Amino acid sequence: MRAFFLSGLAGLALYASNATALAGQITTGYYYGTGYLASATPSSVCSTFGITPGTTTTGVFYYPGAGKTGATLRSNYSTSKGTGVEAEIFPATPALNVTAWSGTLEEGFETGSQKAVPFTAQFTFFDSDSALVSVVASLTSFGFTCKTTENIVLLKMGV
Amino acid sequence: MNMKLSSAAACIIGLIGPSMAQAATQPVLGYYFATGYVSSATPTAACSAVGVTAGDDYNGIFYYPGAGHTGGVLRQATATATKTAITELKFPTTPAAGTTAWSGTLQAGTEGSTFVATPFTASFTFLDAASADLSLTVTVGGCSEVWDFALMRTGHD
Repeated sequence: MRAFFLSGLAGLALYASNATALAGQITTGYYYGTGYLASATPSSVCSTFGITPGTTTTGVFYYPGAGKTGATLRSNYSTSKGTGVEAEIFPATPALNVTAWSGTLEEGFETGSQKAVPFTAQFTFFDSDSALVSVVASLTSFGFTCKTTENIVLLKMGV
Repeated sequence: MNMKLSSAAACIIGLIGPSMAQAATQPVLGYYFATGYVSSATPTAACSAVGVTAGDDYNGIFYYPGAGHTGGVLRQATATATKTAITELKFPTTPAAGTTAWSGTLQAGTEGSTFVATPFTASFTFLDAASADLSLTVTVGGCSEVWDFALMRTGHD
């Protein structure tokens, strides 16, 4: 569905060359997040966690600015294990114009359970109000680890 | 989900009747959650070629800079197995306060591309200070597309 709109209106952009790379650091604020779980491996472990590639998510990402703490991604989940809200609290964001990000995030649920999750991430800045971010996270439970890659589009919606 | 809620809410509106339809407050500057629907895409052959079909829908964010100001931008997100992308439509100066018709040339682009000038016409239907409808018509590759958006405010600069 959305892809069709992209094809239609953004089809305009296809007529142009890609000579102009657009880039700009995003600013402090809340961002509407649309994510797609590109991979979850190994499937034997991830499926027991209720994680399946191809899942789409919708959420809100708070970006506190470059080099600051407080970044949080809140998203819905709807899996075989249940439905609810998940909050991922990230460590300090990368310095200005740095796109690579890594460390350990805190993942929490309404149930109160919280886990420390190692992650790496890569921003692709578009302009001051939008960016793409790819997050690779390793979730471990009872000695089993599921590695996920989620691609998220961020669109600013306020401060 | 949304459909059920929408249907229920629409029924309530139906019961109220047209008396409330007269509210026409100008939306204030800020970010608006935009949910859109392609109400028309003609001719079919040309629209199929650019991947647009009547009935398509999507979500995005519209930044409204206030009446008579530059900076209006509609951003749309795509996150699928084959593509993660942002489309931006940068509009010219918004209509003056109380004016609902809007036309001119917008700039359409995606990350990593140049922006392309595209003529458009649009019309607002104001509901209150934080919500409005926007009907947008553009022609892409010979396909005339009419998009109907519901805009709901989420925040400010």
